[in-house]
Amino acid sequence: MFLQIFIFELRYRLKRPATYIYWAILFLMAFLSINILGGAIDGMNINMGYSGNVMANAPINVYVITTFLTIFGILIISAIVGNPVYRDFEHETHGLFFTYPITKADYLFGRYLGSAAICILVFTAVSLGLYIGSLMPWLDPEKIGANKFIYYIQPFFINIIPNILVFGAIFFSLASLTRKILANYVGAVFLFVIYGVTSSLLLGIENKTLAAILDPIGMTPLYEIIKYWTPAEKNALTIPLDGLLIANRLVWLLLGGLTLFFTYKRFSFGQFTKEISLKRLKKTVSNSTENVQNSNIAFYFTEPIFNKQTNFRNWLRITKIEFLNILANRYFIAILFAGIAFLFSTNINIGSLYDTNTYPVTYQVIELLNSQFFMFILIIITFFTGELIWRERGSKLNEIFDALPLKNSLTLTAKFSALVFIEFFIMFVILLTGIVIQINSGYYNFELDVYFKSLFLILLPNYILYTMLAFFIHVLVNNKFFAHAVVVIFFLFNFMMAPSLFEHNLFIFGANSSIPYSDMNGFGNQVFSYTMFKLYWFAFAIILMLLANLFFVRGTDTSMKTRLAIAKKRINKPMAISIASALIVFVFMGAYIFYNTNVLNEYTTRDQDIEQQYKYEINYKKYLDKAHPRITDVYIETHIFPHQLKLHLIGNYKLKNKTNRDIDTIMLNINHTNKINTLNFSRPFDIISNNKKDNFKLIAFNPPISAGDSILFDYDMLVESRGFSALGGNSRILTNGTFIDSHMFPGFGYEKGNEIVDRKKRKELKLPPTTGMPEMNDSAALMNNYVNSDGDWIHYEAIVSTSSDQIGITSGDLVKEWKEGDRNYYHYKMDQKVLNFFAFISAKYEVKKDKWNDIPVEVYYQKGHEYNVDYMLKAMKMSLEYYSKNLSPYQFNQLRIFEFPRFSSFVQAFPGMIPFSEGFGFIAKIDTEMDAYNYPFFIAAHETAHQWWAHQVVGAGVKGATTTTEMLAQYSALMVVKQDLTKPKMIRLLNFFLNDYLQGRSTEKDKESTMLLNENQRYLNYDKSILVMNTLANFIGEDSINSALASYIKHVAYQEPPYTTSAELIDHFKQVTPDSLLYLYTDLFEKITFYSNRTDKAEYKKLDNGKYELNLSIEAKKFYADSIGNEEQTPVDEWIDVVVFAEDAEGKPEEEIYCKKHKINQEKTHISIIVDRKPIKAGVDPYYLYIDKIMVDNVINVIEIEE
Amino acid sequence: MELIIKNLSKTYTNGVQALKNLSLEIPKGMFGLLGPNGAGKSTLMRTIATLQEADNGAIDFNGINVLTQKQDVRKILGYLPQQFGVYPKISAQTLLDHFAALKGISNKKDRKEVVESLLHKTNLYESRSKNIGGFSGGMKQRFGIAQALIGSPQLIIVDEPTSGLDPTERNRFHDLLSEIGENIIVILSTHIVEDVSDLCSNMAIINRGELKLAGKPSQLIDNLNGKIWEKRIEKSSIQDYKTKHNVISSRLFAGKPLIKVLTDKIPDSEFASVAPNLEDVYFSTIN
Repeated sequence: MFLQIFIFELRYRLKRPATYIYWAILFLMAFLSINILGGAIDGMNINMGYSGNVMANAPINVYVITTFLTIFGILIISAIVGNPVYRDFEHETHGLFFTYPITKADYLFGRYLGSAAICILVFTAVSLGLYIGSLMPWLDPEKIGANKFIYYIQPFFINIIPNILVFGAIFFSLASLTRKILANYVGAVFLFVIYGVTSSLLLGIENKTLAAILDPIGMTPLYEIIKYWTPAEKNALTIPLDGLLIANRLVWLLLGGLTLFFTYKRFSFGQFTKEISLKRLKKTVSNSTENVQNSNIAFYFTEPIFNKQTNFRNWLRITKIEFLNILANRYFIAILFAGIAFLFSTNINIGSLYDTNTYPVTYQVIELLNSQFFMFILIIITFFTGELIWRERGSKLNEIFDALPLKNSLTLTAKFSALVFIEFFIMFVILLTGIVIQINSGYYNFELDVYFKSLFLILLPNYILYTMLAFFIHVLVNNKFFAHAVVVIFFLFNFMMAPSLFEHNLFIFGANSSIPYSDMNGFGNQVFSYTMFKLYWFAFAIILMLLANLFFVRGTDTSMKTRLAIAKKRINKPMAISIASALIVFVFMGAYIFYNTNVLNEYTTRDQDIEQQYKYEINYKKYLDKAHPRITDVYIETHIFPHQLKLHLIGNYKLKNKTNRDIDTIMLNINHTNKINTLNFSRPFDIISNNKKDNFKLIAFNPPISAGDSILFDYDMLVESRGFSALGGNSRILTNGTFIDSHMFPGFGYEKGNEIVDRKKRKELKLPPTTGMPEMNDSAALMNNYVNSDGDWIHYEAIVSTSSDQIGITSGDLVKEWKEGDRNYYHYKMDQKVLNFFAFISAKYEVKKDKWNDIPVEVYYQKGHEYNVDYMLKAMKMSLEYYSKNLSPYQFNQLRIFEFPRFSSFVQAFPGMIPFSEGFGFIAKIDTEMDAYNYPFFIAAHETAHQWWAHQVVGAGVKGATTTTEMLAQYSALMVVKQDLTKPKMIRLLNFFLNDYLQGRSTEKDKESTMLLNENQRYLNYDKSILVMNTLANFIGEDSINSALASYIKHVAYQEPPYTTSAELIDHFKQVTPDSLLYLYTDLFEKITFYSNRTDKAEYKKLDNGKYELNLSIEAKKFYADSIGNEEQTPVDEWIDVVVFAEDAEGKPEEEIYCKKHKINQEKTHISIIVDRKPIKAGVDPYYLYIDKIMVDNVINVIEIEE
Repeated sequence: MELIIKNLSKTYTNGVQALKNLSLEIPKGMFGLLGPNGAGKSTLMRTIATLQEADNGAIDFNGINVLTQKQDVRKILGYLPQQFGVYPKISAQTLLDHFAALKGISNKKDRKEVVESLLHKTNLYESRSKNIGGFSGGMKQRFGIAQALIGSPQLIIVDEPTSGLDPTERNRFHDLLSEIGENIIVILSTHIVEDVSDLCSNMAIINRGELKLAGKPSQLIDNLNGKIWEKRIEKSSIQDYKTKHNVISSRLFAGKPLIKVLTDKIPDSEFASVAPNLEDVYFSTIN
């Protein structure tokens, strides 16, 4: 019988068109994915959760897409495998079926396996779609690698089949036991939630294994396995059956099996039918209690009253009832609870950066809550719109209801309002959840106004818009399930595709230019544009609702022809006026927005940008090596009008021709949106071409500027915000927290930074590949420092003015401060030469002042952000102390940190001045017990170090430039931070940087450089730099390094061109290095070196003299990697720490009782050591001196062996 | 007060012509609309109840154009559809109260009175707070008529209210209908002849979308006086009789067919004259 049922299920499904539609959808999605990855669709790419130069059909891609499609496929699995038993119930065929002589097992497993088998067949579409997609002739051949069947087969067997069996079992059981198909939706939501929770748990370092095992999809263990894979490995390796992956699959298969078993136990045919009849019995009211007809009682008649009040009351009544209906709906409650549960499981990671959370400030909490709740709210909107529209028809009450004297518009708007009130309710839930999260973290500054504005004025309107759209679709489509699909597809399209397809927010339903919140600037200047966009979209959505009203189904005649005829009849005068007015508002707002974004402001599409870049490179690259005069003196007046969002910039520069040739023309770069009042040179000149669009003018001098001669250059210009722009305005000029740097001011020469970098695009446009940074022997490039090529070391003086409520800041000593009218003026002057690299800030601040040796050390911060100010001050003071003692004196008369709004997230060092983003450390919640990496402290030390490594010594703009600045700043900061760290904490800090380095290099898009030829890769600048310098300091000593650095500074500080290089730095190091260690520079700086060190065995026996003999088996391997990560083993021949730990005073195995460098020159080494105390742990290289992808096996527990 | 239907036609998109140029005048009182399944009764009922569009024709009720002034019709309409469900987990009282409010009885006290009187009248008062989902078929139909009676409607349409009810419930239902005022129009559509003969002062028979017959039941029966003949015959000869005589109905009586023939003269001596009833009218019209 089992076989018959199994085959029946197969036959049934094969006859259903849905089966083929599912297949086609999956095929299409897979096919499209691989095509997008293969560069078939311009401007589109897929975020795979890792990046780097990976082939479209690399095994890892195939695996991840296949797995990802099972997430999407949950819906299909639920529809196919969740359905069979429920179907018998729904069609009431169970009565027939269950009388046949079949056993429960035959019935259940036949149905389950039959539908699961069909599901597996349907999912072959994924593998086929990917495979066939990868063969398409139009794909970029550079993105297609070798195609092996195993790539496609492996994920099919490891992920697809188990996922179908497990999810299928869950859905099958849910639907069979509850006999409600809705239970499946909730089941699907919970699976999504578990997946979401596990993938966000992965962010934290601690829970990775647990997360990897609990992920139902099997994606998380995958990411855990491949996290350090280089591009070469991603392209070549199939997924190894790692323990985690196997554990994950087994856990879920077991769970699926148990679920089925439970269902088998609980399910019974008898109960299945009986339960229904039981229900009937219980609910059937017996007639016997009734009296005979009460004919003596008269009907009580009241004349109905139909007026506006009645209408309003009825509207309120339906709204209320529908609202309460949803509120009491158990699926609503389940979805809401799922959302909240999801939140509480992820709130541990608020604002997480460097594994450290931020304080749960209100805007962060709301951003977190909304991003997590977004999907749930969309599900609620989609689902309950259908429920509302179909409520009467679902209960077969529609004929009575439709004959009631209610206007269509009343019913429609009441139902719509009910859902809007539900959204209000959800916003309140979010608000309360947010407050609970805040209280939970001991944060009590609730900022109810931010909650209110964000939730009810910014987020809620969007949800209302989506609801209107969903109503429109549901009314028009008039088929509940099909309409659900249309709504979902529309949302997917609107959020995923439309932004890259249309770009402009005028064409993306409900969209607006971004409205970020900052504690410093509030919602700032975007409120107006936000409102305009919302008016525009609401007018549109009202048109949709009016159309919905026209097509609202009432009565039993629902053919499209009749509905059209009815709709026509329903157009009366008020209706026509409403539609016309909404249309007028829509068109008017659209025009007004367009005027702002495209007329007042410049709007360019991505394609236009590319075209502009292309033309710029084609036409002007010839000016690349053109000599231009260098700025030697800068005098600037920056007048900031924060409330008018306006800048008035006046500059007087002195320029000097430092070349040995005449200069007759220069390329003067000025942003074309700046309004130039005057522009003058102290020498006759002609503007020979004014390339406004390209932001530069060609200026010819007559007579030319001869070699060694100087001229004066002055300008006066306005920078104004006009209206609002498509993207969200100028995030630099703000009501509070304006922060502008050299880019706002004129500069010279061809800007290489304007070139197209995307390799594929360049190839398409037949541009030569980019060459990266110039080589170290490029003599022209050596003449420019990498920070700024318009000048070398300059004299700097500036006046800053701003409104009376703010202070204006730039680098230099404040020589004068005054008020004029209602404005504040500040005059700053540098008493010594600085780089041509300056910034201006204007904001309201709290200040915390301190001093180091008479030098003011200050932090200017937003009120309420005092959390880490003391760390910053301490870091600055300790840094000044350490660097001035070990490197060279501090050159400025002050050191100040300024907070700026979080619209950009970086920290930058200007002379004596460090702008520090609000979103980057000010609200970090540092737990000095827990977090080894106190990043506000570390970054403050790092930026202070830049006062040496950039502002005293600056490298040439060639390969290795940032090694002389960023690497040395990291080294310097490490030396400061180290003073406060215990060894175990130091290990954790190094582990953090190692992990960051390995992950960083795995996302490399181009090629990994060596430390010596570093091309400004983040993971080299900040991560590998620490590891390399830590090793170097360990071998040749901190003092030797510092003396080398001091001598390096003495040689190259404030040097005029040519500038220094990383090679020169290494030469200074080598001078303090014994010959025996010179090989270190090859491994650390000139090659990309990895080790695989581990302790295989550690055993001790107690000796008669009370000492312990410890025997260690050590394995050490060494590899050199090329730029894309291909590794080649090379003989190991290094001094490696062998360390033994005993219990310390607290009983932790952290006390070092033996630490000695052993020369290890074989893969397998045995070492025998005698120690005085009982060893607990032992092993090699515990202090991260050698870059090793797996550090946990370096030190292991020691085992005692008996004689 | 009169409901006038003129030349009403309706063809569904699947090609079924449900109403063919149907004209009918329905006076005050209980009006029975009789016809077999698929005759177009429900289409006609729904069209009058504003739930369905007509292709052609007109319906006028006291000067209200039913086809266009739907909202005005709904204000004076009570409608009991052929089949209906209710919201899950809702009591009779709550749902009636809800409908009463939506039918324009805004005053809470009035509404309470109305609802209670209807519950009493329909004998549902005892079960008023029970879940309607658990009601028996008869109770549910009584609930249906209760909701149709809310708000003193002038036009009540009940579509096949008695099908599926057991005889006791049907009687009960008939009693209830008979109580409804004589001053309004009640249209009762049914395929059960007794419904009409028991209750209606006027009636019409429609079949295949066309009006076959209209008038007072008594007159229609009188028209057949002396024309209905009955005979018990052998099963094997039934076909024979059908070709020779105008057989309007045949039913089994003690295992043998009992046929009725409509004719002015006695067909043969073994036939006996019987007094006509409404069923004979019905069968003679539709067969």
